[in-house]
Amino acid sequence: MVNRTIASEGDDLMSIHVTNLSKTFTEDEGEELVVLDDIDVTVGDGEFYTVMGPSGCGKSTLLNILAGTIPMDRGEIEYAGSPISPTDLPVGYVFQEPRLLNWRTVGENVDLVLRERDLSKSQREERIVDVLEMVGLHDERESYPLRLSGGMRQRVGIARALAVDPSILLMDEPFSSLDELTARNLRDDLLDLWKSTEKTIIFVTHDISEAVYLSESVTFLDTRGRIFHQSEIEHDRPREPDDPALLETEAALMKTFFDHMATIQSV
Amino acid sequence: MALKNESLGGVIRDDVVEPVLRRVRENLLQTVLPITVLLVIWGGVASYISDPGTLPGPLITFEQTYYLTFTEDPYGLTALDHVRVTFVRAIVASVLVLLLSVVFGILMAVVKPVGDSLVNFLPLGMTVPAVVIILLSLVWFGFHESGLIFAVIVAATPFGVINMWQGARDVNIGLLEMAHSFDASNRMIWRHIYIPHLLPYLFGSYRYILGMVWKVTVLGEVFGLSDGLGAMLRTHFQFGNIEIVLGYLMLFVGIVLIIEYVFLKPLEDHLFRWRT
Repeated sequence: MVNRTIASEGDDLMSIHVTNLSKTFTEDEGEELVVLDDIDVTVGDGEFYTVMGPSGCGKSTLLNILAGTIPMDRGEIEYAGSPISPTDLPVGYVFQEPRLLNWRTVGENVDLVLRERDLSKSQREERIVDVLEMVGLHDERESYPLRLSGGMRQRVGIARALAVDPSILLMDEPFSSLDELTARNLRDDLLDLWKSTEKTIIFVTHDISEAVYLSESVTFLDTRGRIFHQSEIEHDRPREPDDPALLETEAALMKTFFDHMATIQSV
Repeated sequence: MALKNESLGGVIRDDVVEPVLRRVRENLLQTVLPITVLLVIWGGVASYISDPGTLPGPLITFEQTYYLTFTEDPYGLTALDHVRVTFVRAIVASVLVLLLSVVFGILMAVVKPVGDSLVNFLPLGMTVPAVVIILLSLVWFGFHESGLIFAVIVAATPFGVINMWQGARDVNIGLLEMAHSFDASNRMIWRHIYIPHLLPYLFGSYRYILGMVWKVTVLGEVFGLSDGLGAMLRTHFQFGNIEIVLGYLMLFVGIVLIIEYVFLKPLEDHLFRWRT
């Protein structure tokens, strides 16, 4: 991995390399909490990359650092072959809760992230129409978020993230608060979007079936903030959620996970 | 509604009278019925007591209101003039209270030391009886308008500040994170997150403040001023003219209801139409 020459690999031109990333939070009582401990992450261009781990393991912190909303303590990020500050990474962020402005219409919510970019009014208009079309909400443009279902609100969140036309989509457990049926629909739509837009997706979840169903690669973080396992998911697409082959992969990954958790807890 | 009358009268009819009438029609049970019941009970009790010096019936009272509204007193003022004087004092005072509440409420939420120290004094301000504040203020600043307005501000501001402070603390951190992740400027964050978030609290506070301000203003007028609704209530109460006291009260209640239904409620419905 160290000797890899990035520039020569056409495929990997827009890949992200995170090295030696660490983050420690100081709690109110002065206690230090290590959430990310010297982690290395490589995400290829257009890859569907999932970070898996138990609650409180620093998955969201990793995304927040990549989104530039919290600073890292230590580490380097390289994008498209050159070092980059996380605030400059071209990301769109989809959160666990939709985080919409309930006092603005669906269209205005999307427009909001476009206003301070160098776009003319007609370009903005075009983007809004495009992304709402992509998530199937073109009829709801004038609706206020509180009138929409949970699944539709999450779609608005996805449309908003797509509106800034990011190369990288950060997704923090975006389907975990939806009912399973809605979540399945959204997962399939996300895969379609991924295929058609060829964006890199960094997806965080604690749901192993979701990880296996969606991803090309799954990385496991533990409660000490370290990466302890990484797995390529090589099942053919389109995948079936209840396919026995997928369930087998899930079971094997779960075993790896629990074995590891047992060892770090017994220490 | 399709052909909108463009004259001023037409605009008022379309934009003010129509929505109010629609509201009354839609809420017939909630508006007309309780008022009717109240009037019937009032009339019943009044005719049972059958002593207009203690409790005049609704009919006498409304006649009195009509008479007072259109007849000048020895100083050349009608009841409407007196209520207007009170009204102007209350509006001036309540706007000042609201401004102070917004400034200090936000300051308390944003600057932690300010919040930590003021939070101990607010309950003090809230527990001192309004009467004490009024009397002291009138003694200190003299028995006229400025003393009254000072008293109202002292009495009502702590309530407004508490309300705005809570609103400012309640802002959704998730939305701020979202805004930062999309590189929003501070100007955008204020305009699209803080202000819309605070607006419902501002409305709630203003309602509450206005309620406090009416009461304290009238009370202050009763104690120390020669004009305004409170002064009239004092004068006529002293002479035992209960039907005039009630006549004034009805005019006052009518005006407060008009403010609520013609201005505040429609404005609120428009601003908060995003709520389901």
